[in-house]
Order: sequence, then C-alpha cells, then structure tokens
Amino acid sequence: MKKRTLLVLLVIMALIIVVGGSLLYRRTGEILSATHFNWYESNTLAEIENANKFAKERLEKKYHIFLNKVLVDVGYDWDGDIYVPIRSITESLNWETIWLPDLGVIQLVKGDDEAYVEIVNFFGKAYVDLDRLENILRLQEVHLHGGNIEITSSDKVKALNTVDLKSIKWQSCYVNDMKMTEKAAIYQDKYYVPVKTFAKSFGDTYRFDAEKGYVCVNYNLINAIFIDGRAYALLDELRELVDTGKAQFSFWEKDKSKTEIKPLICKGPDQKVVALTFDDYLGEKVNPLLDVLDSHNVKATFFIVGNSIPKNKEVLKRLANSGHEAANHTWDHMNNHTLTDDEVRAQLISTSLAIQQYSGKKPSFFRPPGAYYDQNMLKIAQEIGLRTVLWSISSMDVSLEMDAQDIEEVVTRWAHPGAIVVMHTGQDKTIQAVSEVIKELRDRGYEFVTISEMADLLESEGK
Amino acid sequence: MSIKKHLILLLLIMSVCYLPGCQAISAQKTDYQEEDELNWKWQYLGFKGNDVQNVQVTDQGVVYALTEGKLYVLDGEEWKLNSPSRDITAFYVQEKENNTQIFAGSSAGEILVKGKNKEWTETSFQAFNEPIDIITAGPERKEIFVGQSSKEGGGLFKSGDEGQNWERLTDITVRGVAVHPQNPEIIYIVDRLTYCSDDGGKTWNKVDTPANYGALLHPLYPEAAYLVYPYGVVMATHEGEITSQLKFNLPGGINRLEFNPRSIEEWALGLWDYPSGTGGLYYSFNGGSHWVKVKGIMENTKVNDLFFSQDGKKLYVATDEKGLWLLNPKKLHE
Repeated sequence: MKKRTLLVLLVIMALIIVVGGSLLYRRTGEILSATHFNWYESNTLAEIENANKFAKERLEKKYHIFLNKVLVDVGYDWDGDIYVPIRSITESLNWETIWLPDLGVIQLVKGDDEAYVEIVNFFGKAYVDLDRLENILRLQEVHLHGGNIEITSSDKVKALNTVDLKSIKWQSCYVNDMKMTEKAAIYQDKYYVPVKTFAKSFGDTYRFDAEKGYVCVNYNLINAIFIDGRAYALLDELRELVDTGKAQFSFWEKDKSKTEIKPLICKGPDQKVVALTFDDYLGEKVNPLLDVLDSHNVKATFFIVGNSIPKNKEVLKRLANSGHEAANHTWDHMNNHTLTDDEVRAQLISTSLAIQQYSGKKPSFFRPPGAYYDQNMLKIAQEIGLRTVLWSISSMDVSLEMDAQDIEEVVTRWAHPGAIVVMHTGQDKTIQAVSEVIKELRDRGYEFVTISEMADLLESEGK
Repeated sequence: MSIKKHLILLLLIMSVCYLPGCQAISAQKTDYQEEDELNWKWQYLGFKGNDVQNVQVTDQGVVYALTEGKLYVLDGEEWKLNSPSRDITAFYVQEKENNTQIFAGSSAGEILVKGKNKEWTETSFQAFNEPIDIITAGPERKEIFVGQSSKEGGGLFKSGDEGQNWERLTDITVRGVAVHPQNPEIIYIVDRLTYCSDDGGKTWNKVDTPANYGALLHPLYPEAAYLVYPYGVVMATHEGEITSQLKFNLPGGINRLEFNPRSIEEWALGLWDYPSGTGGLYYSFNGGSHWVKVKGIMENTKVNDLFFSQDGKKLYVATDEKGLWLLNPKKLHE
C-alpha cells in the first residue's frame, strides 16, 4: 500500500515537472533555451538578463556633457527630462559636494553659497535634473546640441589650449599588453594619451577645474592640450607624476586584439565540481574566511574591488600564497553601463595591475559588478586579457533576511555539477555558512575548483 | 516558524514543483502596507494622456487644473479653457464676495489677474524674465504671495491689494511658500535652503536643515512647520528650531505631500522612484507613522499635485500622463 502511494506521488511529481517545465520554457523564453533545468539557475540568469535590459533601456538616450568645452560625463534623457551626474559637474566647478545618505540629498557648498539638492540614485551614482542644476549653480548657458549637452559656467572661463583634430594621428595604446585606449594621439611626432584614462588606469586621481581650465593628476598640475574636448598630456610627463612601476607601454596603428570574443562563463562542465567565488572588498574579514577555506583545503576565487587593495596588500598576498585565485571586480564597483569604454578599461587595468603587483600574478577573469555587462564589455575585458565570469547560484548572502543557515540551505539545495556560487566578503554569516557548505557538498561527492580550473575543464570540452 | 524560514521552505517546494513564473525571494523591508480593503473610489476628471501640473478647488467646489501651460476650469462635466494667451506655470484662485479672482504666473515672469471684468490683465509685478514657481495666499486671503526661482535669481513678492501693487520681500529664490493660516507675519520659504520669517518677511532666519523640498503648515495645528525632504519630514518651530524628524521608509522619494485640512492625522503623499518609474499614491491616517499604498489607477504613477477639498472628503490628484483624478476615501467619512 505504501509503495503504491509512493508510486502515485512520484508519477504526480513527474507530471508537475514536465508540465511545469514546459510552461516555464514558454514563459521565460530565451533564458531557458539553453540547458538549464534547475529552476533556481534559470531564475538567477533571468534576473541578470532583466536587470541588464532595464539598465540598457534607461541609458539608451544619452548625452555627452561638455563643461566649458571639456567632456566631463554622460547624461540621460529619462522620459523627456534630462538627468546628469551631479558630482562630475559640481566638483569641476569647485563646489564641495557632500552626500547626506539619511536624507537622500546632496549638500553643495562653495564659499558662502550653499544648497541642498534632491538626487536620483541610479546604480549608486547621483543624478540630478539638468534644469534644477542649472538653476542652483546659476550656469550661464546650457545648450542641447545633437547628442551633447554644452554647459558654459560663466564668461570668465580661461581659454583652453585646443588642438585641431586634423593635425592628429590616432593609435591604440597598450599597457602591459592591456588595451588602455584607442584614442592615443600622435601630435607633432610626440605621443599623447588621454589624462583621465591614464590616471584612472593606475588607480590615481584626475581632476578638471572647469573654472580655471586646470587639469591635475594626483593634485599636480598637468600641461594639457585639449583634443575633441578631452585633456591630453605627453606620456613621458604623466609617467613622472604617476607611479607606473615596470609597466610597459606600446602604441599600435591597428588593433592587435583578437576579434573572436570568448563567451562569458556562467557555469562549468557537467562534472561534479563546484567553484566558490567571493566578490567585493578586501579587508579584515577576509582573513577568517581564508582560515575556513584553508582548514578544509578548498581553493576559492576572489573577485576583488581594486580600490581595496592598497590598504590590504598583506591580505592579498596571503590569499595568493594560499593558492586561491585573485580576479578582477573593477576598481570602484560601478555599473559598467554608466561608463565610457575608456573608463571601463581604466577600471579593469588598474585592478589587474594592483593584483599583479601584490599577488605576483596577472588575473585572467573578471566579474562585472551587479552582473551588468553586454557584448562590448566582454570585448573590452578580453582586450585586457580577462574572460568574463558570472555565476549559476546566488547565495543571496547580501540579503538582510538571510542568516548563515539560510545561505547554506540555498547553496546546498541548488548545487549542481559545474556550479559557480557567488558569495561576498566582509560578512560573518557568509564565513559561518561556508564551512557547512563545503562539508555537505563534499559528502555528496563534489570537488572544489577555482575559476581557472573550471575554465580549463570547459576548454577541454571545447567550450 | 519565522517568515524567512517560510521563504526558504517555499523555495524548496518550488524546486520540486518547478512552478512557472515564480519570483525569487524578496528582501525588501518596508513599513508600509499594500492593501486595498479601504475600497478607494476613483473618479476620472480629465486630461488623460496629459501631464497635469497643478490642481486647485475653490471653497465653492470649482475645480481648476493647469496642464501643458494652460489653465482650465471644470464646468459641469466639461473642461473650459480659462487661461491668458501666454503660457502659465503657476496659478491661484480665490473667491471673495461672490467674485472669483484668478492669479496666473507666466513662463516669462509676469503675473496676470482675472477678476470682476472677466478679462486677463497684466499687473505691475516685476521679476526676472523666468517662470513663476508658486502663487499662494495668506490668512483670509488678504495677501497674495508669489515665489520665483531661476538661475537668473528670484524672490518672494507680496501684494495686499489684489495684485495691483507688489512688494519684494526678499531676493532669496523661492520654490515653495507656506504662510501661517492665522498670522501672516510667519512665512516659510524653500529653495536652495529653507528660511523662515516671523516679521512678515522683513528678516529671514535660515533653518538648519536639508529639508527644502516643500514647507507645510497644517490649518488645525499651525504651530509647527513640516519641512519635506525626499524620505520624510522635519518638524520645526517658528523660530527655525528643528524639533523632530520623521523618516517614512517608503520605496522611493516624496514627490508631493499634502495634509487633509480637517484632520491633522490624515496625510496624502505622491511617491516617485526615478528612473525606475515606480511610485504612486500613499495615504496615512496617523500623521505619517504608517502608510497605506493606494492600489489601482495610481500605482507606479507620478503624482504632480494633491489638493484636499475644504471639507476634507475628497482628494484631487494631478498626475503625469494619466491626467486628473478624484479620490474619495469612502471608509474615512461614512
């Protein structure tokens, strides 16, 4: 009797799986057109896909913002209103710009002048209605011209040393074989590079003072020329101000990058292997996480936010010496959709250089923050020697609702052959969960691999 | 069993059943309630597909709406144009001694008046050649106040003779004004910063708060000013001292806040999370401590203006694209 009941239950469950699976296929469309038959994995990828679609739609109508004839950022048309990133403009006009998170406003201070501005927080970057900003800053002129927003702050702006585009020959500039820019300029037989891209590629500061026309790197004034609204300086001059270490620079007339883009990796092969990956910042709490991993002799992959490396060099050294893999998670953890191509390159190069400097090994993999990516970013990453990696299982450990036991339950319940699990550094509950996850999955016959090992296994299967 | 345990269990069940179209676990924590058991009654008033910037209802119940730079009045079931030839950006209507007076602020910084003679006439008002931001009245409608904020400058202006003569009270730019309903000496203005005056605008004290989104004084309890910031309100005395702060924890920023004139506990709020396009209308029955999301037509709609009828029984809601609506919160006043 019991066997018959069990059999009936199994038949019912099988029917639910078949009918439910086919309905899911129809409702979620393309995301299930691959080989995912794990509901959670499909849902994870559908969420990533939807988030990217939303970001792309909202950033579709864009304007390049020229402040006193220099490109400072990109603004967007949202339902007929123009929104611009406030900080790029106000800081260039020497307003102290202070974010008050509890109140959701930005305070602007310049001498005796003061204002509070309501902002739109879009992917962690503050935007403001252009009309409102024009009013507050009392900008002299704001024109929408083609795809540009041309702002003149006042009539007392210093004239810039501009160079005619016709006298320029363009080349691509590489640093340690990583493409930094396609817009390096040869002018009067000398090599010039875009100052902002160069400084950011080494994790250094760039500043444009739109009132005085000054360009500074690490608070040092640069003798800049302006080409097509962008500040350029001699490569040799910049190398004196920026610690480039043993970096090698090369210039190429033609693109030397490979054209075929390797597909991004969401999961590994159909073998009983799992990759544990940890995203974000290096810090004190990475050491206890390494203790747990090392005690189980499990090698993991860390996608590191580059700006946390300089203060945590020893953590990175330990991580690398223990056999874990250090990978690239950009310098500032920004949404790549809101950055220009050169800015994305700089985010990746600076992080890769820092990882290479302190771990002794150049990273081979990159995970875009928030999984915001597109085909162009895959190409840019590849030009920097990075293959893009997402995940098939989100541990959801960033959720306030989840405690260590919940994280363990989600990961172990949804683990599958070739799973890539995303977790995050800096959280005690994640550290607590990891030990149990390792024990449970080992008991079920899983081996733990790094992303490099996972990629090698995929490579051996021709993927 | 805790809620999160339920969620985990649900996730596990879903894994077996492969339920189609289900969503992942949500981690959002809010202190508002999503319910429609209050049986909200909506009445569409007009301008579907248009953005209605402002709405006002006179004491006699006549509805005026500003949309696309033109002012309309509701006559029976028909909207009639009642606007000067030039585009307007703000208006105020008052009824005095059986006479309706309309003040309109133009996009070029003019104030026009339509009164007894039924013709629009330009007043002597002089300001920057920029849009007028707000027009409102003081107690007993003896004085009209006009605020202007532009990159050229602005100010607060007052007329005590129905718009014939104007006095500039300050050259501080002004987006919002609140005048004490019994004492015209007490005025709040907001724009870049927030200021208050207790001498009719002769001197201004800076209120030390970033809450510069709007200023409100409740007619039943005007002893405290409610200064709006994107996530809540700051309460201040008329000396400009901050006494308390209320953070709403709603899923977006405040676009508009309005008080029911017949209840100090009833507040309506237009919420907007830009550019995700989520927001809508929220209602509180306990002075902002707890909010109810008004379901239906206003969900994910940008609310531009809110206006309670004098009896507090009707709420007029001006929106982007969906036009003008009337909400009668039935349960409240039955």
